[in-house]
Amino acid sequence: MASSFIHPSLFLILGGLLLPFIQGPLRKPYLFLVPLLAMGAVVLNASLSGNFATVSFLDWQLVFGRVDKLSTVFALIMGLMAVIGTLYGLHVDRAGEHMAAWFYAAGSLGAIYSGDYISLFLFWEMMAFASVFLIWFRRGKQSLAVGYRYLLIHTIGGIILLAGILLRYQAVGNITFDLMDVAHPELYTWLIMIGFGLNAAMVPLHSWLPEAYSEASFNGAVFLCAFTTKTAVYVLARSCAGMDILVVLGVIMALYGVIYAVMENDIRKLLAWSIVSQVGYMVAGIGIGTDLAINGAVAHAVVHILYKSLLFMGTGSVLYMTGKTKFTELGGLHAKMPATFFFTLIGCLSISAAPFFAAYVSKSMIISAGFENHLNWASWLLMFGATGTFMYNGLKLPYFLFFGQNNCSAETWKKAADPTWNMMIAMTLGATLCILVGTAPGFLYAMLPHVVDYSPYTAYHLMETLQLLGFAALAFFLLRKYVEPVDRICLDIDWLYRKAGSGFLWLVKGPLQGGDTAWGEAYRVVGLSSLMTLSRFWSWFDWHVIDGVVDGIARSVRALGDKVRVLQSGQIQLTLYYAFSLAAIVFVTFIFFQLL
Amino acid sequence: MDLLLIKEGFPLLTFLIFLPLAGAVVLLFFHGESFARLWTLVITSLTAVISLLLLTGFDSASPKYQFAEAYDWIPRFHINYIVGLDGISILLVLLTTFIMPFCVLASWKYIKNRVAPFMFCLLIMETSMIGVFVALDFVLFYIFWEFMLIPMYLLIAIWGGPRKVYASIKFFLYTLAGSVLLLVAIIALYLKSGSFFIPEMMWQEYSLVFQVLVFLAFFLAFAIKVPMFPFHTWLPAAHVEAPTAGSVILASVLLKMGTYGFLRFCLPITPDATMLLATPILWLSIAGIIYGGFTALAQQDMKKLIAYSSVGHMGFVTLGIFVLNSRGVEGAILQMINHGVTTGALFLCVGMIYERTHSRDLALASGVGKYMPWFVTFLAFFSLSSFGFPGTNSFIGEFLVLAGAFDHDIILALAAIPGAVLAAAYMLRMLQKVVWGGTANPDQSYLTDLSIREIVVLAPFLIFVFWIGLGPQPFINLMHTSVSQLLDQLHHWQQHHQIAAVLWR
Amino acid sequence: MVILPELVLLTGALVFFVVSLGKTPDRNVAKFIALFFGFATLIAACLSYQLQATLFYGVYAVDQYSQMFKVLIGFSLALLLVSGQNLKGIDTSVRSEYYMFLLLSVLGLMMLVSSVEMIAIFVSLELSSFSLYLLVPMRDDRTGIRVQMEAGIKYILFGVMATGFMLYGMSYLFGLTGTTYLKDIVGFLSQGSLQPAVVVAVLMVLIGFFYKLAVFPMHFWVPDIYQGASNETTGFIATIPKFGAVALLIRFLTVPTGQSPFLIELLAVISVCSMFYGNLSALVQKDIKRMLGFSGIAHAGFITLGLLSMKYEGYGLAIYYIAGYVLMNLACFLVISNVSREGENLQIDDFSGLYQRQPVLAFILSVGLFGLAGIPPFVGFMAKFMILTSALRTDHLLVVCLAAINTAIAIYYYLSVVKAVYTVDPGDRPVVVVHPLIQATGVLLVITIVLIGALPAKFVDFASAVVQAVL
Repeated sequence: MASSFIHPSLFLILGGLLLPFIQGPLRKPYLFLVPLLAMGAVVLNASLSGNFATVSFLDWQLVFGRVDKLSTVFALIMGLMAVIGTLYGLHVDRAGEHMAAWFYAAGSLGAIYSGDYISLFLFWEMMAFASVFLIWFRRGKQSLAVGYRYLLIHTIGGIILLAGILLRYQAVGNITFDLMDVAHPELYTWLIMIGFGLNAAMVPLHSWLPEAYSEASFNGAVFLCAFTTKTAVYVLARSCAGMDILVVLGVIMALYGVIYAVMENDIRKLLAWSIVSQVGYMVAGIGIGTDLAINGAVAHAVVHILYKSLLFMGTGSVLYMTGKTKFTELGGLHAKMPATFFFTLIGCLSISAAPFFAAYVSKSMIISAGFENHLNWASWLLMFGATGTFMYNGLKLPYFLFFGQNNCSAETWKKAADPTWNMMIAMTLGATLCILVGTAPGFLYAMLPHVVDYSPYTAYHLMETLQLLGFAALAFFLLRKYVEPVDRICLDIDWLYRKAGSGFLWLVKGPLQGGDTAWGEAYRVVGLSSLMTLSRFWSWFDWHVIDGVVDGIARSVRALGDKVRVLQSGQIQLTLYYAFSLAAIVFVTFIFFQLL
Repeated sequence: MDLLLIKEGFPLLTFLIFLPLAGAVVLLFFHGESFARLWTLVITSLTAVISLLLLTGFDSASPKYQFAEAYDWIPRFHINYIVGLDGISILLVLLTTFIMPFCVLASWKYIKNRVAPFMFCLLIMETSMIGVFVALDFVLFYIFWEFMLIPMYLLIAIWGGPRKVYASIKFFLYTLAGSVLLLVAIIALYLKSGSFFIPEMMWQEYSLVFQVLVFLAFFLAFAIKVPMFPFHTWLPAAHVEAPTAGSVILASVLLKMGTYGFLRFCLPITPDATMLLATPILWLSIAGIIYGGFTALAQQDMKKLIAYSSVGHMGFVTLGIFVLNSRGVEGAILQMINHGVTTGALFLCVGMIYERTHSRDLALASGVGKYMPWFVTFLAFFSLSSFGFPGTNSFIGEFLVLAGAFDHDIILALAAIPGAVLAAAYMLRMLQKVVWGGTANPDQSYLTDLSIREIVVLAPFLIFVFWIGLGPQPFINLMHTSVSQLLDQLHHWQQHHQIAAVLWR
Repeated sequence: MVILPELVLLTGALVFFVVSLGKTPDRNVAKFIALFFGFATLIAACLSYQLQATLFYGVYAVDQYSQMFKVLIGFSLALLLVSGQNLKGIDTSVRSEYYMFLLLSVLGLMMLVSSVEMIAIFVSLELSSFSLYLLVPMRDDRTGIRVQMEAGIKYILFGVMATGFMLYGMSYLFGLTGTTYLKDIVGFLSQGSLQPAVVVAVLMVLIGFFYKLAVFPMHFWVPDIYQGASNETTGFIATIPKFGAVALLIRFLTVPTGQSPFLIELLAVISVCSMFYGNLSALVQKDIKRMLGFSGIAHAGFITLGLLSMKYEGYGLAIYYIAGYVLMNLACFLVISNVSREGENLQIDDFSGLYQRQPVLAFILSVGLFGLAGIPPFVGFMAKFMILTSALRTDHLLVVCLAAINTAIAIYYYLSVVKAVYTVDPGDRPVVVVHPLIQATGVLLVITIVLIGALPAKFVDFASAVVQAVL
């Protein structure tokens, strides 16, 4: 049995190592082949269950292949993403970038399959370090700085995780990676949770995400949006299911992301923020922790990967073709890039949980799970967030990007066109899947870790959704002139949300925004500059104080020698005088001491 | 002498010690440059190959000192020529013998004038380094320990950089000043125990005061050699000015002598003092880890950066040693080897940049990745290893050390954590600068990528990085028996002498 | 034939006397005669090595102890003559006289180590000293400031004072015991109760030898004389007379003063003082001979430390130490007298880049200096190590620690020379050409320094045994 387990990461890693040697015409097929192999491996593994590839390491048992429904479903979607992402970037001819992407995917898959903390940590770090190259490869001053920051933050997260692992090992005495006793959290529970949560971009540990993803290269972003956060969701679901705090955090994330997405001007940053909010749903689901909630979280993760990557591919195409990512520099592109527009629209509908589109079948699971557990406040807020999602993502994004006022400069307009064939194929693939999942969620549900008796297509649910969407749409189109000069927000909509809306307005204008900008600053200023200043101080200290002391001692000894030398005046009478007086002193004192 | 496993027949260790010396003597008579290079390469490689016999013959199940040889030397003072090898020292000896050929290769082009004397110094160094690790007689140990200063001094002072005079004299004075009291301590021990045979000095009933005094003398000497914060000040100067080979030897072998001294002498000879003073030393190690990290982060000079990083890494080693449990100590020994491999390799990398750009300034080296893909690949792996990336050697070492530290005291271990972050910070800073640079990189289109020789030099280091990183078991097995025996005796001792470190609780 | 070496030296001196009567011979003649007698003395000393006798009514004892010293002296003399054969600092016209007084001085020393009676001791000591005093001003006056005259005068005056003290002490001993024979004095004192007077007397006598050995506080003459005398002369002053001093010191310290703690503590203090004084003031010297002079003071302190233990072992070690010290100093002066072109004094800077100018000499010099600094495996380390051991055995922890610290201080100035030799650029300093024989001598010295350092067992055992047997 164990023989039949094939670790998909192997393909990606080996493939990546061989990549530089594959040149010329062979390159593209090879690029396509490797992720397919990995995907195939995942599919094969899907038939298994149990622990495989256990290696004894020092005095621990490492489990590289823990296969069960939870890991399988995540592995499948990740493998799929590897294929789509590579396909999307197929024409990129920088071997390094593909290697980075593959190592990144390999890390994610490895983390998903690993059944113990040590191998998990190994792949965890691998993800962090591979992913940063996707940012660095954009080669801007900005992206270099951001990448460095991104990496530092993830290192810190990793170290916290490591500390948690060690502490847990201390307390529990094993390193098996499974559900922790969340009812009675210890210090290590928190440390591990924080370590995971940082990768899940939990507020307030989220600031790395928007800046990093918006700085990534156009195809790098497609990978980034899929792996890091969702792997974090997986490990949280694995280890921290039912941890109440997660519900709160999840809800906060969901709304927080919405607010900033609504205010955002950069399309990719907007998507990044929406990741925060969407992951919020999953985290909340995990926090609720019932079978339904977990299913919802998992399902949402899967579909989210689908449509988010689709969206990033769409915007990526815009970036790739025009080089611009700001609403204020784009608009009315539907004429020039119809296909892109079409796919993006599908993505938008999916994310905003429109019926028969992807998120519809998953988001609602989480929400209803919330109601079942009488966490009504949470569910209401999440639902509210969903509306917001539709506002910015279902309407604002396509409208201002492809319709709306045309802010394109001349050459931008000239450059704009539908991208290359491989990108088109990738997007087609993504779009098809989105609709497929949305219309026929059966096979998705079948894959979920727990058995589900949940059907999204009830009349009530349909009505409810349409109603919300309707209101939101209405509001948007009434008020779009206010939304238009971006970076201002108007939510002054009808009876249902008036109170909340005004409260919102205030919140957003007031503390939250200040808070977040401050927090972002904190990363920049406190995070790095202060570190550098501190280190400069210490090196100054090293040069001047410590060296000063040591060299000072040496010098003072030398100076002392200089003093002593004075005794040695050349004059004989003096020297004689010294000699015998010194002798006399020595003798007398000694005789004196003898007598005493 | 039942502690010794006398080696019958061929005196392997003696041969290893004196083969390089013989080679050096030959160099006195033949000065041809190319001959000197080849000859030294042959000698060092021969030593390395022969030292493999140690591995085959070593019985890792026995805690005794193996391959031992004992001859009378100065009977009047009970000074004997005794050498031997146990689980603690075998890896270090192998490390030494295997580093040397690469030092020779690294100096192949780097050293242009006075080649023969340079190689002469290298060979002398090798003799004394091996001697230090295998000596079981304290006087013998001290002789090698001190004698090493001369060739190292010359290496820095003759072939060094601009501030070589300052650096070399500082190195010599400082380390020598550190070890003069060691001599006094040795004599005092001899007068108490009546022999210079190290194992006979161990586990004796010395009075606590005596132990503390001896311990402090040891500590000064070894802490300077390690170097522990705040005794590290000679290190950056020496590292920066020394030629590549010199830096590699310094980093890979010399620093280990300090920690080796702690393990070999402090623990067994002055157990009470060790337990008494362990805590402050642990915190000193923590301070070193953090301090090294910060200072390294601020450096513009790559060599200086790595030098300060050594302070941090060696901090981990001392941390592991003085938590006094098997995880910690084994981790520490492994970490010695790792540091030897990784930092040595990093210095080689910097040297290779220096040979091309004639500067070690990060700003000038920024963005060479564009023209030297092979180089940056190696550099990337070594820097990853340097800050303990999972799957590389240092991770195992630091993980074991941290695990040991958590066994010992959680706060202590948590305090060490930021050091790891800092390590990542400065290494990545260097990596990012070198690979990508800023927006305005200097023009480096003239740079050529690594030559075959250089790749041959670096590749073995990489192999070890991953070998230890993925399969450390064989290395651990080598040392396990000796370490556990040492710690058993220590704890046994502790139970009988209840002056345990209540002082600090 | 028991006093063969003395006779050889005497004939040598006479030959030179005769030569000096005629017109100045070719410089080589003097050189070869000197070399001949040098080696002749060595051979003679070796031949008469096993012999034992007591001559001249027992004032002159030829025993293992004295013969050992004679061999050492002969050996060093030969080496000295070879290494200083060019006598750059001495005017050709006075060379024969120079050699005559040199041999006479050595003769005095040889007699000194054999004398066991105070008058004899005094006579031989003065013989060696006065001929030595004369050697100093013989340096040819190139600079015109007649510095060597000044040095000579200082040397004499200082020496006379010291001798005065010694005579005074001797007279005390005579007054106390009524005899001038050492062993009678020993016998007398060992039975009778000891008065402080004995201690004082012994101390006063010691002062005379402290002067020769240049121990604090009788060291003040050293730097000026070292600087003022020609390189070869300094090489002699710095080395061979120390043998005589040590030999006699040991002979005297065995006079039972009850080994009064007083004396021991005094010696301890003196030794520490001379170490610190010597090392500290050596740190800042520019002139290499002056520096070596101060380092000599420090080493004298170490020797006193060896005597401190008041045990035969300690005495043996002191002999070992002085032998090593002389060897290393010979090596250094060999280099000095050959690097200086016309016998001028050398600043430390003048050694810059010696490594390029004359690698062999550079090697010899650095070995000598590292040896003096006490770095293993050279003899300097072993001697220092053993002396510290014996001193610590007699519980002088403090003194030992101070001595250890001194080694750390000392390394700096030795290193500064090595630094100049190896790292500084020679600039326009010319290449140094040396006769291969001299190079060979230097290498021989190096080998001995290493060998005695690495395998001291035989020598130390022998020396201690001899001391034990004789005294």
